Amino acid sequence: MTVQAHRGGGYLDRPAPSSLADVVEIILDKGIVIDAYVRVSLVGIELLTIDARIVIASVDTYLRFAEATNRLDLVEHGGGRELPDFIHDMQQSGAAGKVGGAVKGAKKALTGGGDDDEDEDNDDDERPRRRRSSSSSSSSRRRSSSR
Amino acid sequence: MTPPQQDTATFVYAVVRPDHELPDVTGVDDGPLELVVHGPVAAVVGRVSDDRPNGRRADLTAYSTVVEALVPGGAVAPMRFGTVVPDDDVLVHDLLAPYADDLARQLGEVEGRRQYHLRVTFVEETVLTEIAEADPRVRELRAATRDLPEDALVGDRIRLGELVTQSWERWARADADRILAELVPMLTTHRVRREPGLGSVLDLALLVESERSQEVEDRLEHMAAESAGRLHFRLAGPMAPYDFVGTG
Repeated sequence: MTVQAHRGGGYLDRPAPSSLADVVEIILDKGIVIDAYVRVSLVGIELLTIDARIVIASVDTYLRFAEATNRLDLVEHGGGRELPDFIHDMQQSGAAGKVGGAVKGAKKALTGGGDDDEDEDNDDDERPRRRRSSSSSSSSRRRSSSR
Repeated sequence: MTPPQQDTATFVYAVVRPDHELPDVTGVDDGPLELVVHGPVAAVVGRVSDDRPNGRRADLTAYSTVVEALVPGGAVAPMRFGTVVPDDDVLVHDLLAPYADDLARQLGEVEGRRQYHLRVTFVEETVLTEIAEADPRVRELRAATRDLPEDALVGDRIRLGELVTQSWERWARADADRILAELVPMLTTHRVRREPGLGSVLDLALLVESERSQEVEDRLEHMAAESAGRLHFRLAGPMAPYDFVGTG
């Protein structure tokens, strides 16, 4: 396949096929089911389903978005913008960061966590972004997508 | 076929056609693959210990490795991960016999087609900035609350967040519609896995004719480039058609 050639290419993020994070998110609750015979501990999976699929609009959500908005470094009257240096902080505290954290937690629960290559898998998940974004033309934006 | 032993169970990977050539890979617990044939369909299975715990990371990896290795050999309908039956007779009795025609039909539907998983998300600070610039109420509430302690003007902060999330969701739907309108003509079919909203703009399983997969990848690369800095496109696959099979 020509996937390899594409990976060098550009803006489309192509995760490694074997990345555990993707396998969990994409295939875990799919496929043909014979109900009585699916033997998997559901502890981690239920968490994953709830946190990754539904972000409930709640007061807590509103406050997180308000905080993220307040941290923007807007040029108030010109309509232009200055991109902030604390994007990393904002994403950590913003809704997206929170969901990501919850998903990682669920993955850890599912896979037992703690073993040595857990970190490797998380890295696999993030590394392609960083690598690909080096071809981005906007250095400020790049920082934001290389979290 | 090895007769099932007393303390083994049958781990089921996928349903294929009876003439499907098994790939040279091992499955869960490094066990060999076997084919259980019934009429127009067959199940790819392996033997596992009956009392082993299931759902470990290595199991998931072994399962997906087997399913993907089956793909070059012809149509594959993956079983849900973790499907373990007591023995081959139960497999035939509970799945292959009652669903034979349905499974054969589904194999026909995914033949020569590949699945992708597309996830499109907003680049948070870009979209928040756009929302603030577009909505004077957001700017006013921001100006009123941003330099005060977090517990001050909580009502205004909630209102600010509410306005922002409403715009965010509306814009996510608009972008999702726009992307879908461009993509759908190239697809065999698709399934929205999660509605547009705060979590993602698009969370989509795509089924694509193998001959068109390069075209779809190229289009997505182009769309990702066009909206770089505002939308993040993440495309996994091609993979087996996990989202497009089932015993419904």
